[in-house]
This record gives sequence, C-alpha cells and structure tokens, in this order.
Amino acid sequence: MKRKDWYWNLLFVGPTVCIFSLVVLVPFVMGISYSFVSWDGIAANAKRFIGFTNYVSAMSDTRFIRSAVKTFIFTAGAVVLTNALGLIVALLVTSKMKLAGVVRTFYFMPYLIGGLILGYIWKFIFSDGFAIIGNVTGWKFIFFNWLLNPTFALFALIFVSTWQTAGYVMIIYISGIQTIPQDLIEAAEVDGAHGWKLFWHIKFPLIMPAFTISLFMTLSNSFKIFDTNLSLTAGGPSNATELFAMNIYNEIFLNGNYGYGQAKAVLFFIIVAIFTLAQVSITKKREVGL
Amino acid sequence: MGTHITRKAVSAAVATLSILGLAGCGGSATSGTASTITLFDSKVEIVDSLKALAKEYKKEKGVTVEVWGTTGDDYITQLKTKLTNQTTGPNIFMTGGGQEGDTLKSYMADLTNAPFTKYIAKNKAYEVGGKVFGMPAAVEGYGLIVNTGLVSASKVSTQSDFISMLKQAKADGKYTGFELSQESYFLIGHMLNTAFSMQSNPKQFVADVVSGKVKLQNVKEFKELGTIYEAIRANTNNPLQINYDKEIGDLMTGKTASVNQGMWINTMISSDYKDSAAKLQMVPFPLDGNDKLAVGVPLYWHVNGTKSTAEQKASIDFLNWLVTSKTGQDYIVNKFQFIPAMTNIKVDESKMDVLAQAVYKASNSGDNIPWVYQYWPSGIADTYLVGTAQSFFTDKAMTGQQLMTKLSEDFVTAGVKR
Amino acid sequence: MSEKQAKVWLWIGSLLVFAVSLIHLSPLYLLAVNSFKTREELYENVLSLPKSLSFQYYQVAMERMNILTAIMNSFIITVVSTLLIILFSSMTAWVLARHEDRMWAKVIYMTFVATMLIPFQTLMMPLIQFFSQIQQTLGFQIIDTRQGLIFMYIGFGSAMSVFLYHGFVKSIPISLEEAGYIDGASPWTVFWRIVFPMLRPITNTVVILNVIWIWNDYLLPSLVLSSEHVKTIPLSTFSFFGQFTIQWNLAMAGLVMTILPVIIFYAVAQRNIIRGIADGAVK
Repeated sequence: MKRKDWYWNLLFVGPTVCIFSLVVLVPFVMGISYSFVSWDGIAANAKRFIGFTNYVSAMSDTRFIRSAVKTFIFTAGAVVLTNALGLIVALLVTSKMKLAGVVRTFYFMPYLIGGLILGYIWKFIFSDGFAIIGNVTGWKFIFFNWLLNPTFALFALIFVSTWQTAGYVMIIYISGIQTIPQDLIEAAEVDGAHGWKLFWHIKFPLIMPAFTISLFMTLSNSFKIFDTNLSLTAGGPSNATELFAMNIYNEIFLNGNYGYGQAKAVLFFIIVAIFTLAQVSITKKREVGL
Repeated sequence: MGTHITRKAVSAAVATLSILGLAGCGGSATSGTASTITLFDSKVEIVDSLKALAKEYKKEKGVTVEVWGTTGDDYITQLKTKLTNQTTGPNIFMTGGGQEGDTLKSYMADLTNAPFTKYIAKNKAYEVGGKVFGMPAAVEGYGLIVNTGLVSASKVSTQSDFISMLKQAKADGKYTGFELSQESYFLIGHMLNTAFSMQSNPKQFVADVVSGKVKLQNVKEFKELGTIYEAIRANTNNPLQINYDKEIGDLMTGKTASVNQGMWINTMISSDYKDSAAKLQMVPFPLDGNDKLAVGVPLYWHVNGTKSTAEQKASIDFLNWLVTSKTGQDYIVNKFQFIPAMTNIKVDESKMDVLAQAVYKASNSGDNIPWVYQYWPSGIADTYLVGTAQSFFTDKAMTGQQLMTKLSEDFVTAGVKR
Repeated sequence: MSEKQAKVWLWIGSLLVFAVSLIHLSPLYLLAVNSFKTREELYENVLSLPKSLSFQYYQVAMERMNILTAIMNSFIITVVSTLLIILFSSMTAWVLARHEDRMWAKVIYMTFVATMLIPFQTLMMPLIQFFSQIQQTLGFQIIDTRQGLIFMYIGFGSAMSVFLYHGFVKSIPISLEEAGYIDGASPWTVFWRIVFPMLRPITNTVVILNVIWIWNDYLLPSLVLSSEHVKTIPLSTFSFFGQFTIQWNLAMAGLVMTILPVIIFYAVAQRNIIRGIADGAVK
C-alpha cells in the first residue's frame, strides 16, 4: 500500500471518524466535563463546579461499589457461558450434522427479540412458571421463585443473557470457521488429527480472530446490560441485582444527580477499559494470519 | 463480481443520503407557526382520546395539536431530554407537581393570568412563589377498596378490626383479607403516604425526616404502620409474587377481600371484569384511626415558556378550550374518565362509578388527607423505598419497627443532594 | 463402524441437538400463545393454549400502532443506516488494519474499541443537547427526523462494525492486494474489486447484527423521534406498556408483528451464509 497517500487514507477513514466523533466522542467529553459539577441535568437549571467531589463520593458509595462488583460477577458468568454455548453450537452446525440450518435458525431466534420484552417473559417463567413446575414435580429446591433470592436472581440474569446472546456469538464463530480453507482441514485429517486434537491445534488458532471479537463483544455488552436487567429483576430483590448501567440511570434520571452519575460512569469506564483493552491486545497477539 | 455492481451500490447509497439530506433541509418544521402546537402526554390510558380530541379542536378552531405519546414510566426521562432545547421541546407537557415540577419550573410559562386559572379548584393549582405554573388535569384518590360481598365495611373501620379481619380470613382459608402488589407505589408508596399525610404539617415533616431531625420509627402513625405491615406479612399472600394485574384480578374474582388502591382501577374493571360479582366500596385506610380518603392531583398541565409568544398563546387557548368548551368537558369527564379539578365543569354524580363517587365527595367537601409523596426526594420510591420494603417481605425476621427505621434512613440518604 | 451405523448415529445426534434447540426456543411459545388471549384468560393461566384463535388483538394492535407507517419508518432507517455503516466501516477498518504499525492507526482503532464500553445512558443527555444546539444554530432539522436518526446510527454503529471488519481483514492475503497495485490499480479499486468481496462472510455478520440492533432499538428513537409520522415499530409497540400495567395480549401481538420482518430477513440472509460456506469449501 502506498504509504504516502494521505488522500486515500483520509477518504477511507475520514467520514467514519467525523460522524463517530460528533455522535459519540463529543457527548462523551461533554459527559466527562459534567462529572465535575453538581447539577440536576436540566439545561435551564444551574451547574455548580465542585471539582473532584463526585469522584470522592463515588469511591465511598457502598451501593455503587456493590453494583460494580455484581456487574463483574455477572459479566464473568455471562461471557464464559455465552462463548462456550455459542462455540459448541457453531461447531455443531458447521459439521456434517443433519438439520443444521434449522438448528442454526432456532438458536439465533432469541436474539431477534429485544432485551426488554425477553426480560418480561423470563420474569414470568422464573416466578410463576417455576412455582407451577415446582408444585407439579415436587423439585422445590430448583423450581422456586429465583427472583426473590439475591444470588439466584443474578443467576437468572446470567441465564437469560446467555440464552439471548448465544445465537449472536454463534454467528460470529460461524464466520470464523468459514474462513478456514477446507483443504487445510482435510490435509490435517489425512495427517491423523481428529476430534479434540483437530479442534485445539488446527481449528481454534485459526478462528482466534473470531474469538477475540466474540470475547470482546460479549464483555462489552455484558458490562453495559440494562434492558434485560430492568425488565427481569428491576434491580431486585432489594437492589441485589442493580447492575452498573441501572445504578447510573437511576442516579441520573430518578435521583436527579447528574454530575454524580457521570462521575460514576467515568470511573467504571476507566476500570473496564483497562481490563478489556488488555484482553484485546493479548488475544490479538495470538491471532494467526494467512 | 465487477466494479459495476459495487460502484452502483455506492452511488445508490450516496444518492439516497443526498436526497434525504435535501428533504431534510426543505422539510416542514415541527412547530414553526402558531397554527401547530405539540402536546406531550404522559398518561398512556388517555392518548387515543387525546388524539381524537385534537381532531375535534382542529375542526372547531383550525389549529393542529400534535399529540406525542410514550410508555408510562419513560415519560419523565424523555421529557427532560426533549426540553433541553427550545426547538425539541413540546408546547404542552405534564408533570406530577411537587419535586418533579420544581426541577422543570424554568420551562414553565406563568399561567397566573390565563383565562382558565380562575376556575381551578381551591388549593389545587401548581403554584410557586404565589404564581400559578400548572393547571390540574384531574383529581384522584385512593383508600381501602373493599368487596362488600365478602367483608362488610364496618369490619374494617378501625385498625384493630382490620387486623382481626386479616387473621380471620387466613383461618377460614376461603379468601385472603388483603393484598399488596409488588410495584413501588403499591407495595409501600401509598401506604407510607397515608402516614405522612396524617401529620400536622406534612411538607415540613418531610423536610425534617430528610434532614434526620425526625425519625419515622419514633412517630406514632409510623409505628402503627409497622404493626400493620407485620400483620399483612403474617396473614396474606406474599406481595412480591403479585403484580397489579393479578391484584385487581384477585379482587374482582373474590380471591382477596380488599386492596389499597385508587379509583384508577376503574379503567381496568370496566373493560375486563364487567361480569364480576364483586361489590366495591372505597373506605378510608384504617391506619391508627384515619377516617379520610387520600385525595390529590396526580398530573398538571404546563405550557412551555421557552417557546415563541405565538405558540404559548396557542397552547393557553387550547387548554382553555379543553376546560371550558362542551366538547372538551365531555372528553375530560367521559372519555378520559377524570374527576375534574375545575369548578366550572359539572359532573353528573349519578353517572360515576362507585369508587369515583367516593373520591369526588371527599375532594369537594375537603374532608380528605392530602398526597404528600410529591414532596419526597425525587425518585425515592423506586430507587430506595421499594428495595427496603422488598427486604421486609424476604427477611421474615425483620420487625415493623426495623422497617420504619430503614425507611427513615432511606429518606436521609436520598435527600443528599450531589 | 459400518457406514450405515455411522449414518444412524449421525441422525440420532442431530435429532438430539434439534430437540435441545426446540427447548431453547420454548419461551417464545409464551409469546405467540398470549397474543391471542383475552385479559381474563391471561389472568387465569399464562401457560395454556388460547381458547380461540381470533386475530382481534392483532387488528387492534395494528390500528393503534399505525403499523404501515411504523414499518416503513423502521425499514428506511434500518436499511439506509446499515448500508452506510457497511460502506464507511469496511473502508475504514481496511485502512486501519493495513497500517497497523502506525501510531495514528493504533490510536483511532483503540478509540473505536474503547467507546464500545460506554453505556448509552451516560451519552443520552449530552447527545440530544448537542444536536439540538446544532439544530438551533445551523438551522437544519436533525431531531425528530429520520435522517438525523440515521446519522446517529452511523455514529454508534461504526465502532462495532470497524472492530468486526478489522479482525477479519487479516484473513485476506496481502499478496492479492499487492498484485493489484502492481497492475496499476488505485486503493479504491483494490478495495472494492479484491478485498470487499472476500470480506463477504464478515459483511453478512455485520449486516445481521446491525439490522437486528437498529430494528429493535427503543431508547435512542424514543429520545430523538416524537412525531407520529416518523415513529418506528418498537416505539409503537411499547405504547402498550402503561405505567402500572401491560396490555399483554396487544403487546404480544405487536411484538410478533415487529419480529416477523426480521425473521424473514434472517431467513433470506442465511442463504448467503450457506453460499459462503460452499465458496469456502471450493477454495
């Protein structure tokens, strides 16, 4: 590629960066600036500059810290399960199995429905639905109302999130698997590699780009989860499942503490950014190009 | 795969973009002249009727009123966002008054000299500093709604009678005496409000609780409320398993004898439970000798004062027409099913359902307790109180006193302005 | 194991997987079934089959949702946004990937990636403030228009799409591009004639993910759009969600109508994936 061609680079990259800056970067920087004031978020009302006070308060806000910890736990669970399930199904539907197309569609369908509605449906299942099943089967140690128990409510959230996004992750892995040239697989099989060996030494390294992408996308989406959180548990019971985005939303829109909410958001963003960007650079190094 | 196809696709996309761009430039403004105004409605139940009303207004006066609707609990977020700028805000909007209104006051036009202000019922306007900034849309009330077919009203007239009724119903096992529901206001909000409104100076009382000067667990009415909650927990179904739909359904099908609700349930029972055998009556909730229904204004109409003078006038004209014209009044009473808070609107009591009648009487005579939660720290019911109330029902060892202590702490935490 | 035995095992295994995927789908049964019930039926039993299969709720929902306008708006916004996202993001990702060692490329790429971590809730208010201010000072309509919303979707969708494309550019052998340059082609030609066609599998993924996200998105349109004539389907569907109560039967009917177009779209786009697999095998 002719490296001196600034014209081409600008043409290819410019429009995207422009629109992106206006829509994402400018509001983000505005938001950061607002974290240094005491304000209720209403344009017509006064802002009072208070420096780092919001940040100091945030670091001693036990409810915020609990919500951040819960979010990390949720993310860990959701990311592991979603990627495992998505990868397994992707491998299955790209194998020689029958009805692969149908299975692929079925696994993907939950993703077609927005998180808000899904949350309501699953809310019913975990509360009333489980009660009915518990009465019928008598297995009350599994089939009770999960949403009334702080730990199980979080499990429920992980479960629903996995159910919804496994299909989306499956699509990404399928794309990755498709880029492996068939002759490479056949050559490896001729050399005696099968099953697990074939997967771990040949297939997996070649789909590492898909893995990086999928890992990062599930990580970022899990940290940001809101819709499903709102409709499935509404943060309950007793704020036990109030995850990070909900804590911020409540602070800004219900409590009316805009600057404080923004400070919390910036803090969390910094922590999460360090964590996930480290992940991206590690896995990118392990990618194999052709 | 040639350059032809990709070049075509690219030019098509660019063409589309430019057409849309041109269309945007020359496009119609949302409200440039006073012949069109926008109304942002917060009550989902009346949005269809509002749109029909807007059509009638256009026929009579030639002015277009564009009605914006939205989902119930998203309204205030969207309103705050849309009001940020003069070009995106609506001409007419609604708030619940109190704290909510105070936050948005800078956007409200002064309605003290508007033609309809003289008709606002006593003490029902939204006022700040002696000036009127909001017109009450309706009057609503709640109390204990009893199915007299199962339990007569006399059996729940005092607190001890009420608790005995709960125990008796549990022992008999045919129905439950009372039901709460899991939503924030139905679980704890309205019940707490009753206790607040029984204080001598409710607004000052709220301020004292928020500052920590007064602690709820030391105030008589709240101690009694704690006792009632203990009785509810011991003798009725777990409210965390019940939602609003189920609560009303249980009432109408005889599974529960009473609920703490308001006349708004009428929209549901008149459409879905027409054949129910339940005979309803609204009585005061028997907290520590309370004998009044809780009546207040849930919504106010406001005019956006940042818009042009012409649009503000058009907005005031519309609101005036709403409450003075025959069509407008008919819509308020019959289609929206509101109890009006305006003295010039006559209501035929005999046409009202039994719940609305009770509220209407209480509102007119002034023999009622006010709504106080508009003075609570904003958002407290959803971000703090409901969580605490939930823990009362999941942790059976928590006493009513401890509940009140925690709630009191919530007021202090929520009141911290950052 | 004989060939016949292997085939039988293959069928059994496939059917097992199929059965599991059916269970995976079972909550959607609730969705379909409840769109036919009356309020009283819903109150009594949410799991049962409806007493009658009347489409009355679909009719009511369609009228109240202004269904044709809503579908058209959703369609225009989704299609135009997605096309433009593909156009801009693929080009950007390719340049960034091919210049990976340069600082400017690294910074831009990392910025895109980092912003994927920002929850929308913190951007909501400043976004609308900023654009309404632009609208006021420069005089052209952005808020409450389809093109304004499309512009925002391009902005929000770029990060993820650039990220996805960037990862896959690696699988395109650079030798093919260099051959193109030797032949005297410009970067524009090299990209559109050589690189983009080879990105087909990931383009499919990017299209599917963006279409579904934009079609189902509620929050952003709820803040940007107000007038009836530009409303999208999710906004109309959520009008059945009242403050205390949800009219489930209408909401479910509305929801079924919302996801039908997406299902059809996915069914069609799927065939491209199959073709992609075939192409890969032939390679």
